[in-house]
Amino acid sequence: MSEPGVAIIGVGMTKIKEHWDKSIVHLLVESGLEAMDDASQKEEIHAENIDIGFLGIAYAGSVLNQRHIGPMLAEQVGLASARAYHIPVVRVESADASGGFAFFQAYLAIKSGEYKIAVVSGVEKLSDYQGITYITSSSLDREYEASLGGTPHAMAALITRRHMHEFNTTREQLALIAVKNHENGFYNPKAQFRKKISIEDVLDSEMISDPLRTYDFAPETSDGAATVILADSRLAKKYTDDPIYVLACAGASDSLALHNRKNFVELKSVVQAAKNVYKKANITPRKVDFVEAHDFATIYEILAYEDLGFVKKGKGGKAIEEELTTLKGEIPFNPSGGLKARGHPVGATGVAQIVESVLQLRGKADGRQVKGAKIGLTENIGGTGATAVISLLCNGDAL
Amino acid sequence: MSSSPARYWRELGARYRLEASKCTICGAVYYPPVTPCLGMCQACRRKSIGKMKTIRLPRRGKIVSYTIVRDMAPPDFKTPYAIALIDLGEKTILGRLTDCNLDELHIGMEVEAVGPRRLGEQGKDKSGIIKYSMMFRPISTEKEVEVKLKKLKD
Ligand SMILES: [Zn+2]
Repeated sequence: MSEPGVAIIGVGMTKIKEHWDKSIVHLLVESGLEAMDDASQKEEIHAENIDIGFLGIAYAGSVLNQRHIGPMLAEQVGLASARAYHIPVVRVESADASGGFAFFQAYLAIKSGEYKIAVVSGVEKLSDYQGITYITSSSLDREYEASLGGTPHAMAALITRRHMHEFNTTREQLALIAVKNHENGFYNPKAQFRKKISIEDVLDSEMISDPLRTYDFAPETSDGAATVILADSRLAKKYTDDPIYVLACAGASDSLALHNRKNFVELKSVVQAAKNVYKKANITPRKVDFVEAHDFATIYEILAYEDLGFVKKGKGGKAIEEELTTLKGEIPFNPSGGLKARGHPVGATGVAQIVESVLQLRGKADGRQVKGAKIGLTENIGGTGATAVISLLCNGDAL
Repeated sequence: MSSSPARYWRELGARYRLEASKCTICGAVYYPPVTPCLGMCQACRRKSIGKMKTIRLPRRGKIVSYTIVRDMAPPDFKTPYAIALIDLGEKTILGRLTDCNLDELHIGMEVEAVGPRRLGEQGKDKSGIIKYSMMFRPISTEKEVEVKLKKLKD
């Protein structure tokens, strides 16, 4: 494989939790500084080296009643000053996939040759709002889903029941996803929940939307930010000896409302985006060593096993039962703990997936390290899968 | 947050009468309906402009999947309540269930449209628009009535 054109030279991330004492800008600056330090291993990187910024945020506009967050961030980190050439910061919104789409845009900016170094951040601060469901339901069709009482949780439940009906997927298999992700999250110092749980804990937790319970879902309230610095590959080695390459990145869409799809047990946006990245990178799923998937609800990880091509449609439940996707399994899913245990600061999630993948590919993921990982895949979806964005990353050993 | 009455008003056909659009070229059905004069079929696109017919969806259908929302509902929604994907033959739509025993819901259950029924009021002080929507209730089949009667007798 020849050297891909786009590399990641630095990553940073805040701990994910309810940050009562920190504002959205505070979180962004914290993750940004960490990424800048991380990108300064050989030569110090400065604000004036950065050509463009992208910011993934889903709900901050409604939560804080503040839009125009691009310049707000740019100003605080000195990107909106004469010294840093007043660079543009583009805000990207694609519901839960905002972070992944912001990364996608940054990738395109470098890939096109127009820019040499780009910074991409994702952030969300959900704890500043009470009764967040009204706002998170805006990832659905407001008039024909949310207005009838459809919530992200309820829509996941509709998909779950259908999957159980068509493929005999069991309640226990779904619970195993949460158990596995909590097991992995235990080893992630930045995860919101670092607590191992049992199948019983999941099955005894409160019913949210029949048949899914509290422990089937990512936490309701997560705050956090993540930042990644991308560079033209030819420039990357100036800053780091260990660049991580972006093999491919692709996004796809589906109908906003679940009821407008041909079937309810497959996310066509994920299938399409996966097809595109495998083709662009000229690899098959077999080559992938680990996946950071969008397990907003346990069912979405089962769908990911199938829609990303690791098992046949309907076999997702069996895959977790047979421990195919545990840390020591054939294809580990969510070594970070996933949305379930790492937390789901919506706009930050897609970038946090990239951060985790970079740590894995550098061999720096400590207790949750996937042995010998060379190629990683991230899957970030919005709403019930109306958008999906998938990235394939690799380290130098894969080339 | 309050939306303007106009936003609500322009959806009344779909909400109160289950209006949908049918492409007269390929037969595809869309719910809610597309704008009558400019709407397009997603398959036939430009060719279908002016050829989309407004129809009413059948009032009877079958539950494809359902869920009972018990928690994490938006404000203004009193739990528990049930929503379902309902196959109305020509089109599957999301519907709110009403007049039903939540424990008896199942995939394949036959339901019929009733209403429009009151969904709730907008705004925290309930000073906004009162929203209505068509809802769906189970149709008891003869066999189910028989089982219920037997239970009552026992
Ligand atoms: Zn047509």
